[in-house]
Amino acid sequence: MELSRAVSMDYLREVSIEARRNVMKMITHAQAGHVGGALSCMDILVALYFEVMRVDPARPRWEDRDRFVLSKGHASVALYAVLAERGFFPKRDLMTFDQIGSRLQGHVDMTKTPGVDMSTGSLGHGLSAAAGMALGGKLASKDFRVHALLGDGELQEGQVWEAVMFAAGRRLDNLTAIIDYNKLQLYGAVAEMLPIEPLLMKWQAFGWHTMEVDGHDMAQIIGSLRRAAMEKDRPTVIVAHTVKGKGVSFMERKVEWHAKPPTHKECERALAELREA
Amino acid sequence: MTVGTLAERVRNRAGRDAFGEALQLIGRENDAVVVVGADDISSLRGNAFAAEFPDRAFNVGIAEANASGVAAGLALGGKIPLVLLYGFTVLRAAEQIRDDVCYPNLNVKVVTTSSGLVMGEGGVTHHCTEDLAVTRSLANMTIVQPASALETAIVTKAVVERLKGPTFLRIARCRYEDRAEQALQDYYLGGGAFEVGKAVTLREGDDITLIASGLMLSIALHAADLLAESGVSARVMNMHTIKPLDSAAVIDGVTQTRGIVTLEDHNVLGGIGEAVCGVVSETRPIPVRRIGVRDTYCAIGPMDELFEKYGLTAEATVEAAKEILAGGSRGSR
Repeated sequence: MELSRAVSMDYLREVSIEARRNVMKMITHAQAGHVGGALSCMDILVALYFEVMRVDPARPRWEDRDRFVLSKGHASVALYAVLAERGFFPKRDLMTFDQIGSRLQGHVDMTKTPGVDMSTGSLGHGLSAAAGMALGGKLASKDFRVHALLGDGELQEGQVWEAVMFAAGRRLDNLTAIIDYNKLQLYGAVAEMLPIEPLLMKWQAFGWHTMEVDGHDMAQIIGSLRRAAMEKDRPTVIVAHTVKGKGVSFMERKVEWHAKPPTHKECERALAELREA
Repeated sequence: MTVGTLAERVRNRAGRDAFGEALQLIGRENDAVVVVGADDISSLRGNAFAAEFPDRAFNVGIAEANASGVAAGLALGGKIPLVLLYGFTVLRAAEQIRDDVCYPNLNVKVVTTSSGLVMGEGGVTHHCTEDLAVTRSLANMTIVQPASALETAIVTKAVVERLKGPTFLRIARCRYEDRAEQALQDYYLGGGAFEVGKAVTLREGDDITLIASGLMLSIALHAADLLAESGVSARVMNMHTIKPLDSAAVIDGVTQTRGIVTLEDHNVLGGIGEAVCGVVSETRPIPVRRIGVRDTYCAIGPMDELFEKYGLTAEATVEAAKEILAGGSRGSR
């Protein structure tokens, strides 16, 4: 059953803006959450859930759905905004984010939130679980794909490279990793904390099919995700160059907006900018 | 397969061999069963399974964290993965076991056959007297430790077939001693059942209660024999399920005997003894003595000699029981 709809790029951009606005409202309301990295990966999530992935919001546990693992689980607000926009749960739930009893917690919990395929939060775990899902798909002769979104700083975790070796060794061509390469981590520039370059060469050396895109160009994101699905015998990594805080001028490329909640005034400014975008 | 046939198959076998045998049988009955190992599939005797079902056995390489995450992913696809780990590497993969297996409550079985001091000659890095402390504190986790080859086979089948959810299976690498083998053979061939969370009283007694499982059960049975010689009637409980602990059985010990001695090849911090103490102190405190490793890294040597050196013996158990019955108090050894 093909649920993806052919939609215009303009429509996807509108969804992205609406989801970014909701991220802003959620984080401001809760006075908690990771805004910078949520905004940097937003366009990738919209491309996945509104164009590329085979999902059915009415059946979040549908066996044949494509899977998504948010390995950088702190970008939960971005995923919640997109899942709500896609109809996995009512948009009014978004404002419960991070409240006690809410099904939308700081880091994603698959047992609570419809549409979340794997619980994450501690960095470095997601690709292993995604590889296990992809392997399970192969064993069951299912044609679903598994996508995992990793942060750039997250690549400093050793377990990521265990999973990278494993996925290539098992020829998991139904697996796509996407790196949200926004160049910043909690404490500063990734390149200054612990350099991860040369990034493409690393993944190539480990046997992966690699691509590099502008992580805010919908056509490029979608094109690369579709191209990944055609690759045989090896997994694909898409290094998506992104801007931390993308869409809100005063947050863009600013390390302090990793996890700082905006004031209500700042939120108003951000919403105004996003309205005009 | 009847219990009798199973007993014949694993007679005189080491714990890990009985596990391997059971694993292969389960594999034939249930094609959802898969094995994820970290270059240790043969060490845990999963090789017969792997040979028969090569497309259901995955060696992820020497990468225990990834093994646990991959198993979680497989469980999400409806498989029943058994993650085979060296005991000490449970500590390395502890966070993955917590986050990826226990927190989402996935049907993954973590299996070790080298916990405790069974790899005594390997030195401290290869001992593992901390795994119960770690796994006991993980919500959703069930912990089972069999005490004979037959019980290993029975337990392995049962937790795969009947128990849905995260499980830690702590099996011995070596042979279990004859006392435990015989007692459990009598129990299971006599129609006894294995029920998760339900301790088995192998010997009745009203003076003192000895609680043990795994390799320590035979030591408890030996101690009961020695105590009987001096007129002390010791109850012996096979606490095969360490979590959830059979509180009712412990409370029976509290109300029907005058004290409890626990035995474990684990640090007394965080292990079976503390689990029992938790129940006792919340009911009606009576004296409890814990036989186990007393918060130290052990010397290098064969397991039996380490048991002697660190007081994991029938004699030490007798001494502890007699002290309780004499009403004496004793500080930590």
